[in-house]
Amino acid sequence: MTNHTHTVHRKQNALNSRIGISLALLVVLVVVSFMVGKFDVSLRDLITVLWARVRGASHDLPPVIDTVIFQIRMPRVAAALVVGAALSAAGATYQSLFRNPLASPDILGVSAGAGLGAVLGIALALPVGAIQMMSFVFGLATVFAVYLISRAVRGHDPILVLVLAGVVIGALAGSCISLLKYLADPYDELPAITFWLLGSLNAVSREEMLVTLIVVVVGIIPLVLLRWRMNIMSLGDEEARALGVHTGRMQMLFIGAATLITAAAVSISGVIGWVGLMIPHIARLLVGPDFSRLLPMSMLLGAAYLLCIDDIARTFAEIEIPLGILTALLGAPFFLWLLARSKRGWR
Amino acid sequence: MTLAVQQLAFGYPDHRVGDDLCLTINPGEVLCFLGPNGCGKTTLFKTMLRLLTAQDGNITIDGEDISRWPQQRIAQTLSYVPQQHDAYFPFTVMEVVLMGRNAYIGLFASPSHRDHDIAWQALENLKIEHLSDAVYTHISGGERQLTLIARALAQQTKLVIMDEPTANLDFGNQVLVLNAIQRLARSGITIIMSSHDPDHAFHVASRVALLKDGRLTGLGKPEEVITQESLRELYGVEVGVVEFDTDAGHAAKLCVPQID
Repeated sequence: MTNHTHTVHRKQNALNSRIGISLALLVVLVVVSFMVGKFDVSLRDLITVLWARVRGASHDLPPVIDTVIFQIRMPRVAAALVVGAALSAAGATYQSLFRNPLASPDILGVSAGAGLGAVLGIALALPVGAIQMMSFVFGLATVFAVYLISRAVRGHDPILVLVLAGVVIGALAGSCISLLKYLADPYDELPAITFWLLGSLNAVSREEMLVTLIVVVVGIIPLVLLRWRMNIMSLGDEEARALGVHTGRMQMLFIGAATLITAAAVSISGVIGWVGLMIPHIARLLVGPDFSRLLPMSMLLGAAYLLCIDDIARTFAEIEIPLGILTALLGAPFFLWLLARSKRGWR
Repeated sequence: MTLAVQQLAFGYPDHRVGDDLCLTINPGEVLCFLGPNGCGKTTLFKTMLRLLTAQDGNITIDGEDISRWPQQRIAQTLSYVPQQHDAYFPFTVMEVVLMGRNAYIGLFASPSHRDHDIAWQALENLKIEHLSDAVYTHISGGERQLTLIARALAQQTKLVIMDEPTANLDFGNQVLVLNAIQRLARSGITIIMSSHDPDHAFHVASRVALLKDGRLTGLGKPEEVITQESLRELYGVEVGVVEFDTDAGHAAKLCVPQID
């Protein structure tokens, strides 16, 4: 028995070390993200400024560096980390729960609903904070509507109904968005709407960042606590019940948590597709399907990925490239490669 | 533990499969259900496991009605080896077997060392400990079936329900699984199973239940119940039942279908 415990531990250590390596890479990436941009910051300057801030002392570098690091880059880097981690955590949850490789944070209409809320806010010329609030509330309301529909339609596979209802409500929200775009002022509102729908992190303030962070953490806590139960849920409703799980409650809790996380992320970043679909796949390839490793790995990779994408978005060209465009440009071919590579798509 | 079924009506909300079923399953026996496809074996098993709600009548364990038992208590009493197992994620065999411990693990907890040891014993019991690190989606059908039986063992229940454990297996794997069933039965576990092959009932069952259109048409010892007449009635084909002496010197029976 000691022998088997030994092997099991060695294997788990190997997988855990991959999570460790990803964490180290993420730290490096965060440092690089503070350095690159319109205004270059050298590593030495970055360390000087941070060290001075930690000690509460002053430094003899130009004050603009402080502004760049603390006012401009810090909220943006934090937003990329949180949104990337959030979308990937939600994606991992939906994929495990629905046992579906195409499940993603958009699947229950969250993104479309949140998009509609934001577009409505922009069309009503609300302040930025209110627009984000609108998108958050609309995102949650959409999923609630989807859930009510799936409860009302009986006699079918409940998860299938849930996903189909999500597609329908999402399409409905999409057409409302189109209508608002059609009616919007083409010089002022329409560009803002389009920009928001393509996803961006350049308007995130520290306060909004903090609120989003809190909501995301609240949503992640049940996922972390119930990480082992998620494995059982991924066997499907009947088997999970035969193994003694109250699947109804558990499903509600997981869907609720993942939706909360998604709505919070989308409300500050706009619609950024593909991250929540693609990242959990890669994480599963690296550490296997056990949710207690899949969840942290997805979050680390998602944070690193979106940070990388955002660095490209703000440095590659003179104008900022919307994130949604980049994630789709990179995500679509990657996903095709992934499908071609593994025989069964995701095993 | 004694599982008793009284005047049970079972089926799906819009479609009743069986009616007025009465049956008592005694501790330590291997009860094998035989019947054509669609006769209601799987539906009956799911009702016993309370995956489906009993439409009428009741199911008791040691005299206690299980309809109000919490899910966890059911899982600590009855384990289930499902018929077809669609594997979605590449869990290792060990991870799958550990899932059998679910009913004993706290809501926010993960399997402990003790759970690992119990899962390992289940693998040893079925002689598949060499598979512990293998990926469940990559192993053969027979190995998967043994893994699911190991999971049921790790669940440490007195009753195990197996839905066609030998279906879709090649001959060698069928024998492996039948051996495993025999070993479980000898260790005192009550087994309720179904099979598409009456010979399997001869090999491992202590009693046989014949199920047709959701009704019991026969119940008793395999040698008494599995006859040319009962098989004709059950499956609508001519099958001879022959008796012979095994090498070990005791009498055994086998079914021999009549092919024109």
